[in-house]
Amino acid sequence: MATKTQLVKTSDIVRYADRLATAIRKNLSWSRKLKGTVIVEKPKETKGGVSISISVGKYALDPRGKPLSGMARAFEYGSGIHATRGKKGKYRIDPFRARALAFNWAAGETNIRALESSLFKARKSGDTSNKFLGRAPDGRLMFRYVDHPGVRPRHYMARARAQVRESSKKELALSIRNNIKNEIGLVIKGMKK
Amino acid sequence: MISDEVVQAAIIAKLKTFTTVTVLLTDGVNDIKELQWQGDDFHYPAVRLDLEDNSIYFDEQEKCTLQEVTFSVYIYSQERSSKQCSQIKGLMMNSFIGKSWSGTGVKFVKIRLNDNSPAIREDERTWRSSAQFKSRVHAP
Repeated sequence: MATKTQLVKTSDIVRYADRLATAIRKNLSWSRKLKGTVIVEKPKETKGGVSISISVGKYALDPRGKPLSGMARAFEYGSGIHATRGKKGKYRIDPFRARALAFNWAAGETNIRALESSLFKARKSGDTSNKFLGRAPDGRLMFRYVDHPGVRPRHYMARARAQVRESSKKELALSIRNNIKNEIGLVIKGMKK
Repeated sequence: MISDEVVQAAIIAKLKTFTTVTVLLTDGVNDIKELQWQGDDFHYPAVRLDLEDNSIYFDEQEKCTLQEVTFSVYIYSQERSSKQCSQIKGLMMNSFIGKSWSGTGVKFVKIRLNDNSPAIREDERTWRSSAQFKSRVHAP
């Protein structure tokens, strides 16, 4: 049977993807949410060769029902003022379940006087757009919305690629050599018949 | 031309006859399905068939319609080790390789193993292994 020469087999690519996914999972050990969302997709054979995808956060949803892939991207490339790709700058977060966002914020506590003063002024003037809404009964600070500075990049994927590059390069080269050897063997066998 | 669903149904029917494999599945033959099966009632371990290619094979003598099919069988498991996943694949491969048989509307000529991917972790809990096969098929 005449077959197309396969220099890189699907199994070679799957093995590489498995290595890379394991390294990504290890680099994501700090994130309970993202660590479990690393998926090795099925390989695809195209005319040009074989391809395989590794997804992070694609099939897991955040409380708003959006895929965690946005979060995965933010921690790889950074977001907000730390973004290494796309637009830089703070982004607004609004509450979607409750009427206010409430959290413990050390930097806010050090500037509590300024925050309380802005709230006092807003109440006095009847301004309903003030960001700070006061302190919750449990002590957390409440806000109508926040301008989030974003997260610093952790480059967990780029680091994983670097971690597996050398060993995979050697392994892939060996596989290609073996695949060529096998193909030549099959051709010679066919010629003898 | 033998259509995809005829080829697929024949391969799934053949897979379901491998008793060495089906005894290891929770729901027996019901745990063998096509890869893109759109149900949500399934168990691990599971066997899935992916028909990757079904194309005309041009033979010079044109004596009969000949097609070449490529398909992969995926094995999924959620055991702690990859043993179960590899074991099922091994049994399935041994039952397939070199076999010729006639299914409903299609005859398979000597199944060949084209590629073998050992078990990998598809996600944190799921093992996945696969074997790719090739065969020529024609009308029985």
